[in-house]
Amino acid sequence: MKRQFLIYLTAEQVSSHLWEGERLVSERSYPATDEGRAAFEGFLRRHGREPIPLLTDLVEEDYRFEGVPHLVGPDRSALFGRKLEQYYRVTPYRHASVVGRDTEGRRDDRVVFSALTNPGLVSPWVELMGRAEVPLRGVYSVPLVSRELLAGMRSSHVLLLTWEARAGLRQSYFINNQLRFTRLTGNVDHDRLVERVASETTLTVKYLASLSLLPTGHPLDICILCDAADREELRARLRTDPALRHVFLDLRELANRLGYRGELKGSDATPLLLHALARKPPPNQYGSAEHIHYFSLWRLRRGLLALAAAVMVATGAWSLYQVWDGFRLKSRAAELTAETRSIEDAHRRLTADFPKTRVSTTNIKLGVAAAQRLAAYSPPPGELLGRLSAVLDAFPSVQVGSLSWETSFKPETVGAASSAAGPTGAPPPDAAQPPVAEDALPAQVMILNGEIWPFNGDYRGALDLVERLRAALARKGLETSALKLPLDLRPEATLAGGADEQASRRALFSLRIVWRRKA
Amino acid sequence: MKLTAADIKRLRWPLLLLALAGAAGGGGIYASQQFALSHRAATRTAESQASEARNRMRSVTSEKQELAAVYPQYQELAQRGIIGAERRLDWVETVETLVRKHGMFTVKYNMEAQKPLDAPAAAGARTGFDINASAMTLELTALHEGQILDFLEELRKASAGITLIERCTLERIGAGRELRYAPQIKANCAVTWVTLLEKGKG
Repeated sequence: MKRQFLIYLTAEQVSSHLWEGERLVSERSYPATDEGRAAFEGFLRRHGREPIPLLTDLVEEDYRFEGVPHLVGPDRSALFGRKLEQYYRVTPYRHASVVGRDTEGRRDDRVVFSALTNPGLVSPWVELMGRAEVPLRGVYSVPLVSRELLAGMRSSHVLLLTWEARAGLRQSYFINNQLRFTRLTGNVDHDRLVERVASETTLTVKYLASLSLLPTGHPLDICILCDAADREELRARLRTDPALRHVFLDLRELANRLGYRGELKGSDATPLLLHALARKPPPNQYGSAEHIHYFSLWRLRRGLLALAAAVMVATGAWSLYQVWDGFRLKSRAAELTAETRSIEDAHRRLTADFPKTRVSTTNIKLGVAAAQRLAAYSPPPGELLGRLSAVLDAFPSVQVGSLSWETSFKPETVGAASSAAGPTGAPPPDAAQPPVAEDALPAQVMILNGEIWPFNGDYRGALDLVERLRAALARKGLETSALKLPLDLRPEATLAGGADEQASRRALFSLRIVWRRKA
Repeated sequence: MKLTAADIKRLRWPLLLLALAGAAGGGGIYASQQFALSHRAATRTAESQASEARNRMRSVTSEKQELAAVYPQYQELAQRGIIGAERRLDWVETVETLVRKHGMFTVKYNMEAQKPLDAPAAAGARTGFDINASAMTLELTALHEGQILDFLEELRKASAGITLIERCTLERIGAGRELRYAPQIKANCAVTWVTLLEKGKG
């Protein structure tokens, strides 16, 4: 439950009020005497730990309206400071606020400069609060707070009349919800309230008329805050005037609207003003930085505590998240470890069925593949000879003298000179030769040394026969190259012969036959 | 707002509380982060171990499938003597049997000492096997070429190992046009006898 003390200051005395549960539950008055001030100091020392607003209700309050050039930031502060110093040099309780801006010309700011012009009535109490290190929330005046009472009023020009039992009759004039004038008539007892309302409003209306502040085109709304009994009496007493319209705000209805649940005595608006101030304190009005120093400290202390709490909450939340994440990871690690163990068990069971060999699977595969490739190096010799025989059957005049075959990766070298092939026909290392692929198969090369028999010296016929033999072999998929022909017709070769040697002439030839196999 | 030394003194408890909150919070964050980090590291290790185990399992499963396909062939090669130590006596007996079977006139063989085989097909298997080759020469005489070819073909199939006929020369040694029971064909062959021996078994 929200609870706070408020200080209400009039010219004669100060009173402290405890506001709790939307009502004023207790109050104590301190007269402006040494005893009163001592008692007040005692109260402050007992209860002055929390912020306390000070509401002043004094005759000596002045308002000035002025248009000033539109400035912002430090320039505006400096200008307002100079103006306040110029108007209210003697008092530290002064205030400036912008209430609007001209719509034409230089578009000056419309500023209200106000002050409590008799600091002697306020300072002793404020100094006591400072001495007791009380966090003074602000120094406010009744006209500022009374604006809250008009919430919901649609009228543009309102003269609000409130009666504060300890201070007197307060008249505050608002144009468009901005305070333009205020006046306190002191020493107004309840018995004379009706009479004084009638006389004072007449004077005030005249004064406003002299300042041309009255509305044009519609009557001035005079709002009087009072209870039902006073309302009837006032209604009977106040003169009717077409330029004026009296609006009676029922104190209890207004209390309900503002949520005040405390006791009200007659037409005294003081409880409602204090309630409005406690419920929704406006920014400090008249207190200087020095006056509200302890309130600033209190706010700083609260800020530091809030910051410490925020740090604790934030770091605690982050730490909790980290711990939660840690436990989550721990659980995940346990799951993974169990999974690993299960996989390893399955792995062990699987490998137990493997053949008992020291050779790895990879090597087994490589060994089998190598054995298969090596076995394919040397096909059955009958396969190539079978192809050759099938061709030779068609050439009965070709006599085979000798036949040799071998496997070689360089078939073009076979039979040309002495073959340098090593075992399995692998060529000797040669930088100019690309390396032989692992799955390459050597070619089968056959050297056929033959003779055309019988031969009658017809070299043209013999050469033609050899060419036909080569063509027939090519049709069987065999490459051939002639190593020797019955007659060497190359220009670079030496050619010898004679007509008388016909009987001893032989048509010898030699062919290289290559059978390339694919891997 | 100007703060004096006295104001700072007035604010000492909130400031101290803020400092404590900062220290406690910082300590809490540090400790909880260490806790999370240690478990994060443990989880990363466990993830890596599980991943390795999964990979090993995949590899073993695939290896087992491969082995199921290839191991019978390997065993067959071992039974045929292709994989294992060279069995020269078996080879000599095989040659003698084939000579008798095919009615060869003469057979001479000369087998050299075993050497590592230098052939492209052998390159990949050298990590697990010593691939050895025994080079030999065969000199045969027969009545006709068919006998020699059949002999060589059966030698290829029957010998314990891979018999690579590298080179052969067939030469007619008779007149060829006479009808009498005498060697007509002489063959000179270079043969390489290859065996694979698992490394470390020699």
